[in-house]
Amino acid sequence: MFKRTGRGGMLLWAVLAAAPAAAGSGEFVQVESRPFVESAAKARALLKNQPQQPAPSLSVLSATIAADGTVTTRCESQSSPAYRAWVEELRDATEQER
Amino acid sequence: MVRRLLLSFTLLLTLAPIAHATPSIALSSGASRSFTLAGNAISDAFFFDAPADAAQLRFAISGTTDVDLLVRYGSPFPGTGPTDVLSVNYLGEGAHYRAISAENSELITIGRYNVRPVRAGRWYVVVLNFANTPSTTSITVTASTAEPGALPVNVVFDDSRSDGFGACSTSEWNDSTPRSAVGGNSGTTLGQQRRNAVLEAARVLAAQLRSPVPVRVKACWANLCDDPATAGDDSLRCTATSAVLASAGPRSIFLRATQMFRDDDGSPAVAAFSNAPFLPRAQTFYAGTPTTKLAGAATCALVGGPCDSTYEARITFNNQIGQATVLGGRNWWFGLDPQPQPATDTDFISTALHELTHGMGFTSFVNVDEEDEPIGAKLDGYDDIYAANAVSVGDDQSVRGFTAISNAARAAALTSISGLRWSGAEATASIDNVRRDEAPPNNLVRLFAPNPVQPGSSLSHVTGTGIFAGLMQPVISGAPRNLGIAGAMLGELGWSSANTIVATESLPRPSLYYDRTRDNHGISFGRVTGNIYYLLFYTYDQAGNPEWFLASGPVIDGVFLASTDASGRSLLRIKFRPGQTPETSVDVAASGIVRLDFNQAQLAPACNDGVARSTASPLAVMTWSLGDDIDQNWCMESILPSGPGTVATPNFTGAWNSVQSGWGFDLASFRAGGSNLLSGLLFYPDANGDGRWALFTSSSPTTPNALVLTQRTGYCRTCAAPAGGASDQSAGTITLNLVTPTTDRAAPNRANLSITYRGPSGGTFVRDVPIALLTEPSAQQ
Repeated sequence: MFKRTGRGGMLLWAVLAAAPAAAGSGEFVQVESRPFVESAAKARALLKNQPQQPAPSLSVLSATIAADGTVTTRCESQSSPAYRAWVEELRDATEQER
Repeated sequence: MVRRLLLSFTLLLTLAPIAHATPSIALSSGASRSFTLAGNAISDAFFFDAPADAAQLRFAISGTTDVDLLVRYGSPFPGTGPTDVLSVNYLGEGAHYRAISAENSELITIGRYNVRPVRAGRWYVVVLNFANTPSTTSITVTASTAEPGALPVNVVFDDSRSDGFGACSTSEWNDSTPRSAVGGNSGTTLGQQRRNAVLEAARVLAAQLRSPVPVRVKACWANLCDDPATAGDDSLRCTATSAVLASAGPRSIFLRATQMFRDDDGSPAVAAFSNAPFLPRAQTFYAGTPTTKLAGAATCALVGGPCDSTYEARITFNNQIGQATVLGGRNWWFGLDPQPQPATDTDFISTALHELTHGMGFTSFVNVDEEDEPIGAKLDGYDDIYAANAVSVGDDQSVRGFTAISNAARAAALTSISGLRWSGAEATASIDNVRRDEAPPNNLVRLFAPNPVQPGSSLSHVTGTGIFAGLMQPVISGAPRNLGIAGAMLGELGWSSANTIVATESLPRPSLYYDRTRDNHGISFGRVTGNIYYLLFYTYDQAGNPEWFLASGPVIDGVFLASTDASGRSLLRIKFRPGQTPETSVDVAASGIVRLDFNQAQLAPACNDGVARSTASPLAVMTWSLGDDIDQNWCMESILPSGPGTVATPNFTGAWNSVQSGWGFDLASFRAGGSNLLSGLLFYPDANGDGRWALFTSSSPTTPNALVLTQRTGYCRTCAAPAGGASDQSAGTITLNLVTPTTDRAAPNRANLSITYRGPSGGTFVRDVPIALLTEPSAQQ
C-alpha cells in the first residue's frame, strides 16, 4: 500500500520481542506485529458493526376458514420494518450529504 | 522488491511487481500456536498448506482482546509486501473469508462447496487486533475429511430485545400452564410444548440442509392481529374466519459487489467489509442464512457485530391464536405427529416449517407489490439469487432469464400463470419434480404467477399440477410437513454442498474501455508488468473541459485494486510542475478512488441495463468516486476490435512516455479494412499544470506524418449525455516516429509534438523526445 518512509516513526513495523510464556494455548511463537495506516478508531469503524442490510420483506402466513369449514393457509409478504428504517436512514444520510 | 506508488504520472515511474512479505510461520493441522499481537496491529505471519485430501478447513483464533481473522487462498494478501504499510481496508479487499465479530474468538469453516473451496495449496492468514492493548492469541487450523453434516439450527427463545423486526415477546415460551402430552410432544407445560414444536420444525428443515455453520433463529411471539406492520392490510388482520398465523424471514442480505462510501472524515473509501466475496454469483443478493455457509462464518462475524444479538433469521408467531374471537377459537396443534383428522386446530409445525423455509432464503426480492416500486423492479437494481434461478417461458417456448429482462417483461412473466419457472438443474432433476422427464422447458418447476399478481405470494412459491410442490405452495390445504421440491431449490439458493469447479483465472485484456452510455469518456487500461496495471481515466470536468486521472495497482481475483496514496486516494489528479522536484504532484482534493471489477460484470445493474454491448471482451464495472460523486458505477467494454484479422503488426498498443514525468500518450493499434490503423490519446499539462488530453489518428502508423491533435469538449461525468455528444477543435500536431514496440529506451522511437490547450487556462506544450512503452508490448500480453 504505502511506501515505507524510513526507520522509526509510525510507518515502521513494530516487532514484539517479549512475550508471556504462559499466555494462550499451544506452542508459543513470536510474530511480527505490523501497524496499519488507518487510525485505530477509523479501522474499528471500517470493520465493526457494518451496516447490516435488512432483508426487504417478511413472509406472512395467514389462515382462512371457508363457509364449508375448510381451512386454508395463504402466504403473502410485507416489507419488513427494519428494511423501511434502513431506507429512511439512507435517505436521511443522502439528504444530509447534499 | 519495492512496489512504488504512482505519485506522479508514471507514464513515468518504473513499477515493479508487488513484493510480498513471506509469511514465516507454517501452521500444522490441529496444532495450536499462541503469540502476542501488539495493540492496533496486524500479523500476516501465518500460513497453512492444505493437504489434497482435505474436505474441510477450520480456522480458529482466540485472543484476550477482540481479535479478527482474515483468510486468503493461493497468494499472499495484496499490500503486505515488506515495504508496504498495511491498510485494514485494503486487506479486507484481499480477504476471501473473514471473521470480524465483536467477540474475542473467531471461526471460519469452509468446505469444497465454497466459492474458494478447500483444496491443496497455501492458505494465508491475517490476524488483527484493534484494541489498544496487546492480545495474547492462539490460532489453530484443522484440516479434515469431514463433509458437512445437518445444518445446526439454534433457536433462541429468550431474546426479546428490539431488533427492528417488530415486537418480540418471549414469555410464551415459558408459559407454565400444565399440559398433557399431545401427538408425541412430551412437554408438560404449554411453554415446553411450544418450544418442542419449533425445535421439531427446525429439525425437519435442518435435515434437508447441510452446513457446518450454525444458523441462529430468533423465535418470538407477538400480537400479529395488531402489528403495525400488518395493520394497514385488511387481508392480514384477524377475524373470526381469518388470522395471521406467523411471519418470518432472513434477517439480512448480502451482495458481492464493490461499493464505496464517504467515511467520517469525508474521504471516499471502498466498503471492503460490506462486500461479500464468498458469494458465488456476483452482483446478486443472497439471504443471510445461506450466506453463513458460503462465508463459513456466522453473520456477526461478517458484519463485525456482537454475536449474542445477531441472528440469521427471525420467526414470530401470533399469540392471539386460540382467542375466541380469532379464527373461530381454533388453537394450535403442537403435536410432533400430524393431527388426527378431521383437524380442529392449526398445525404449528407446518406453519413454522413453511415460514422457516422462507427464512432460509426461499424468497425473491423482486417487487411484487404495486404500492411500492413498479412490479418486477429489482431490489436496488440488483439480481437476487432466487430470481436468478427463475426464467420466463413464452408461448413459443422461448426461455429468457427472469433477471435479464426488463421490469415490464418481468411483470408480464409474474402474471403469466404458467410462464414463470425455475431453471435450477438440481430442482429440475429432483425426484420431487414429476415433470423432470418431460422435454425442456416443460420439465421446469412452475412458480406461482397468478393474474393479477399477488403481493408476496407470486414468485416466491411453487405451484402447478404434476409437481410434488409440498410445503412451499402459496395456498395450502391441510398441514404438509415435507419441503417437496423446495428442498432441492434451497440448494440452488446457496445451500448446495456440491463441489465447486474452480475456473482458471486470467488477467484482463489491456485495452481502451468505455461505457457506451457515457460516450466520449473512457479509460486506457494497460498491463505494466506481472499483474500490475495502470488505468488512465480520460474524462471532462463540470464545464466539459478535458481532464484525466491516473491509477495503478494489481489485479487481484479479477479486480483492479488501485493502490492508494497517503491520503487514501487511488484515482489521482496529477499536477505538472516543470522545473520543480519532483516535477509532478497529486492534487489530493481533486483526486478520488477507483476499482475495476471483471467478475461477472454483465450481471451488474450498470451493465444489465438493456443496452446492447459488445461481448467480444469481458465487461468490467468501473466503480469510482471523485469529488461529490460517490460510488459511481460504469459498465466498461473494450473499444478495440478483437478476433482474427484485427491485430496490427507491428502492434504499438500501450502507454508510451518519455523520461519526463507528467505527460505521455496511449496508442491503440489495430487492423480494419485491410489496413493498419492507429488511434492515440495525448495526455499533457496546460498552463496551470493541470492535465488535459487530445486525440489523434493515423492510417499509416509507421510513417512519421504530422497528425492533427484534436481537443474534444464534452460533458461532465455525471451529466446527462447530450445529443451530439461533443465538439472538436484542432489544438496542434504530433509526429510519431514509431519503429518498434518496446520498453527499451535506446530504441529509435520518437515523438515531436506541439499543442495549445484551447481552454480558459491556455498553455502551449512542445516536446521532441525519445519515447518508449511503459506497458508491456502487446505481443507479450
